[in-house]
Amino acid sequence: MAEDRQEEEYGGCEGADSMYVRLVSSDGHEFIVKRDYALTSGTIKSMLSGPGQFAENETNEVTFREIPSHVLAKVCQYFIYKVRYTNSSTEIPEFCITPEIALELLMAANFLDC
Amino acid sequence: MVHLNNLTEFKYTDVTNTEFLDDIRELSCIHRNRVRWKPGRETRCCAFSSSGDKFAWSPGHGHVEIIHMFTVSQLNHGDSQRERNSITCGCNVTSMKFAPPFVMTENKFSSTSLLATGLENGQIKIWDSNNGHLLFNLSDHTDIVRGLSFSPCGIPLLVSCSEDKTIKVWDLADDGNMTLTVRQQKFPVLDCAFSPVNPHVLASVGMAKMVIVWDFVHKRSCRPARRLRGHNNDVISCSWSPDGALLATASHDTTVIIWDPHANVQITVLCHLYPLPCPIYAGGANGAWVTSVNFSNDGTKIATVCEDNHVRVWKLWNRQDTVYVVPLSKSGLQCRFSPDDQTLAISQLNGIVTLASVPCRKVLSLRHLSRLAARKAISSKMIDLMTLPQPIKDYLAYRFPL
Repeated sequence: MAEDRQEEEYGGCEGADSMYVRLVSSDGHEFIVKRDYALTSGTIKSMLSGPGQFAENETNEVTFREIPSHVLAKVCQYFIYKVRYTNSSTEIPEFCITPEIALELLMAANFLDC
Repeated sequence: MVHLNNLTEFKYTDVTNTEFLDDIRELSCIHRNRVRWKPGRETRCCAFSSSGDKFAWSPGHGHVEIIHMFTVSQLNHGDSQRERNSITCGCNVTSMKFAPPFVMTENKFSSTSLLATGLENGQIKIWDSNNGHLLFNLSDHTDIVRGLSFSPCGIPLLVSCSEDKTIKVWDLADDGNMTLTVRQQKFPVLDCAFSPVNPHVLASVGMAKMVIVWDFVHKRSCRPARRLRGHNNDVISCSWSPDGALLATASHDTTVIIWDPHANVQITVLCHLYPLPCPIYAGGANGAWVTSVNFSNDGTKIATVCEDNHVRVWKLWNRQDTVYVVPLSKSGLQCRFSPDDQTLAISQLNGIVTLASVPCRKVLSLRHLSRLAARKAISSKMIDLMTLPQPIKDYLAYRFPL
């Protein structure tokens, strides 16, 4: 019963118009983010909603075999940063990237086209 | 904009969009109603504090005005009550710089309120910008002090360069004592700048096409590391990108060249005269001297001041190549971006500072943000040694095409 109520409030990961999508890193960590935020990335956008029959379109799940979880977490934070501050008149704060992950983040960003 | 893929090939990119910036406000003071220009009245320099809350400029005749500064639109609403300080230096001010935060254990003031001003008679006076007190008077140069630069990463060193062909290093923690004089140039040195991430790299530019990158080992030892050749006339001004990977130099030969100083490669050339003048014409008076260049703090824009009374803001890593233009009434002398990149301050020949509001403050792409973060730690030489796919290496090294 509590589970049913939770599903009504939050929307799920299944179905064609689900509110959430699942991004899985190379070490198996699953990130569930809102679909609109994930569509910031051009690659994810074409995987989830492009023409053709991608398997991801059915299950709303994308697995990245080269992106580790510490990088994918930062990518998800960037999605939120981008959606929040695009076309916003407030002052845009700095997006902090520690130098240890910067190189892997660059390769992930290059792949994800964002 | 001209892209130099290898040094023998030129490819012109048409600048198709030029937009005129219109949110402009002028700051002027004591000479407001006098039309005739007199020497000594030029605003040669201006500076923003490192946190962006203070703006200092020199309206000529040795005065320095400091205001607590916000965006241009906020300035338009009744700024007469805004807090203004005024300092009298006694001699025309030719360069000024606010200090970044660093630790000074013996003194009671905070370093972010330090304002260093270089004067025409060779003195350097360091003031506390909150109350206008003179803290240090460093006098050893014998000619006009043209450039000042504080060491990054919290080290309390100040480097000054002057038309007496020397670069001097001053230790502010040691009561302003001069620790080193570098006399290796044969011509006046017109600007100097520390790399914003590496306190051991210093760039200096001067007359006779000189651009030198120094290996600044410590405060008593400084060796020239390499010389960047490519300009055809005096080099007036230099500016580092915020990740310390690129150096932009402005010269009287109508061009601004953006170098990768560690690999000694030219990345791109910004031209102010079309077509590109031949070396004889570029080496003399050509009507399009570029007097100042400044990188924005997010590394995506460059502002240049040219003798044809226009200030241009170039967007570097964007294929549309829109150039924003600010027309001026009298020729500009120096331009500076504010730390939040919202405002561009241009100091002019007639004692007026023009503040233009820069549009297009956008969320940068994750690629660009990661490149900025990665290049702060990785130097150009290390990139080629790493095992990365070649397109990533080219992107990291700012090699065209992007």
